[in-house]
Amino acid sequence: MSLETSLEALEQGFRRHGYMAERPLITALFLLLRLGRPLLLEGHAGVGKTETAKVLAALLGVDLIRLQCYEGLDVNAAVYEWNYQKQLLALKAQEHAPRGQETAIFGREFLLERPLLQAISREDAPAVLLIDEVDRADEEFEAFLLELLSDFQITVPEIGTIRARHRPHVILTSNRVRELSDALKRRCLYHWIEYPEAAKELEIVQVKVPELGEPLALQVVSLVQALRGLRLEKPPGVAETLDWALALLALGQTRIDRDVIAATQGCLLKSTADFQVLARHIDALLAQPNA
Amino acid sequence: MPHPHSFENPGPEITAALSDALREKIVGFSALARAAGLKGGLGVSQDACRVAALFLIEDFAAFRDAMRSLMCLSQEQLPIFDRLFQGYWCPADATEMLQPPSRRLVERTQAGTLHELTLAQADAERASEETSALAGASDVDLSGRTDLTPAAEAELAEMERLARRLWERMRIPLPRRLAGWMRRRHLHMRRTWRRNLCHGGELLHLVLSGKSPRKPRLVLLLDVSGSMENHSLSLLRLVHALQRRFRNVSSFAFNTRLVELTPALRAKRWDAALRAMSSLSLGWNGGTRIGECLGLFARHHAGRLLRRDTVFVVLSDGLDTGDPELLGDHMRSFHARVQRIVWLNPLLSIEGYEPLARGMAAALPFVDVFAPVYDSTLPGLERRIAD
Repeated sequence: MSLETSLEALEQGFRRHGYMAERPLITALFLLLRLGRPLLLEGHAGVGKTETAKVLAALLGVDLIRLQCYEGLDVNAAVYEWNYQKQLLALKAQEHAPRGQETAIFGREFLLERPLLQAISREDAPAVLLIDEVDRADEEFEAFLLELLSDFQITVPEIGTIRARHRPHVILTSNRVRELSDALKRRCLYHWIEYPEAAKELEIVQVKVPELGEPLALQVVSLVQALRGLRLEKPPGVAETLDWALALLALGQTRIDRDVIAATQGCLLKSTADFQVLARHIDALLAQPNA
Repeated sequence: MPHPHSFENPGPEITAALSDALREKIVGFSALARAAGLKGGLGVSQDACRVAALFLIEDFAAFRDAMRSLMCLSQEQLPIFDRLFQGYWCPADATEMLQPPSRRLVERTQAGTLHELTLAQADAERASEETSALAGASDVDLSGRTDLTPAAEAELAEMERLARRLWERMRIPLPRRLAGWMRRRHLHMRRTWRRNLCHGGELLHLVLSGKSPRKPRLVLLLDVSGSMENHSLSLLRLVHALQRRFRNVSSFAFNTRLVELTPALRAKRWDAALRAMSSLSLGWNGGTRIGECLGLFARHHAGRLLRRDTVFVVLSDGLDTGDPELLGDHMRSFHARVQRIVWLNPLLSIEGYEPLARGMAAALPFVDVFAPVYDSTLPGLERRIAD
């Protein structure tokens, strides 16, 4: 059954690849495939935004092209760059070549394709283009991206306009470090990925770390859920839950107590202020049911 | 790999005809969403019709999720959408059903802010009571001070001039394509190459990229408690002027709570900005708890706003009733994250003032620039912020 014909097929496909997606996310991905609009995924760190794109690419059987954004990202790093060394060598070689064998030094073979150009240059099938942490790029890059997402074509002055044969499926992720421009948000479908409920998170842990065993998995999940309720600088995401589960497995622990938490707290929390908060609340956390 | 059905070639089920009544209802919902500040309009209506053809009959929950993805722009809008959707598509009884925007809803939305709309309950009367109560309380505070003495007027003009000068010094336009390159002095490959094409590829001239001055970001926290009453208005004017000129300025007001002023102060005209601010529930002129407000800032905004190139400016007299240790702790953590902390204290222009108040004293070790707000040190202030 083709993925684009039903939500169930898409959801089953994601499960097969180990990603337990909520229905609203599946619906948004379905619209991405059907309507051809880019999808903006927002959410806290570690909830699975990047993972969504990876699984989608694997499911569709196409390449994942990833562009990691940062402040100061410019056209050279994102779209294309000329291979100066090769051009220089070609020029030197031409000095001694007989007349009539000159090659143009601004041809496609001298062009280094960066992610955005790669994404629109696919010959056989549309790729999945992941633009990760787009909120870290600056406003100028966003304006450029908007242009690209409207027309799916790139103009290289020396070569001409390169149009996409197959429009890529575009997923943008953002941690909300900076507000994105309204124009870009309006271009995209929107989905907010929230932390999962306890039952869902338990399912995730059991699928990803099956050797952990249910009682310990239950303890892990209920502790992490309680931690998210505290006022932390960096609340743990699902990625941290899985890291902690793997750490417990690696250390051969079978139950969680103060010492275990103290030894492995680096998996869950990422700042000393948060360690202090944990230390203050550790008795209350351990006294919970399932903990 | 078969091409997925897409925007350009919709599958057969998408082009199935929707009834006219249903299409009208969808367009009405789109208009309602647009009036509430969500995405709406022609493109969205068209996509919504396609979505309805896909989902509406078989899977209502999927229809709702799909419309949510189409219409929301941010996490804050999710509850607004849910409320609108519930009221429009599945009201409990006919009287609660939301109609496509009547003049009244559109007018109320245009007059106020999204803040007012989120306050609105299904009961329209209660909503309009609330908004007029909010507007009333702070109107009294601010409008009473809009008629100014000539001396105060001169002060405001001085603020405008200062803001303009700061803007001129700090605004640095960089062409987009070069922005990434110009970080440090190194060989600028592309320019070198172009420069030497005339020499047939021999690199006779090397072009180095220069150091680029960076646009600093400003974060301004303004104390609007009772003790700052005389200065609040003119400082607000300064903040407004700064915000109009710089892109990366965020401003907040605090006394016992913290409120973000940035969207309200984006209005070009001063009276529009005042109107926007009056709808913010701040409670002007209360007491002060600086430490707690800094804590609120740290929790909700610091991660987003404080970076290594940020200049953090606090405009306050430092008199507060909160915990000075908390204040010191937060100032310490901010100091580690930003380029510079500037504390502007209007009391400094008073002869013989010493920062003995516990709050002020706790914050002082972490302040890079401690200066009065007005008078002859204005050029100095400008230099300090712009450096």
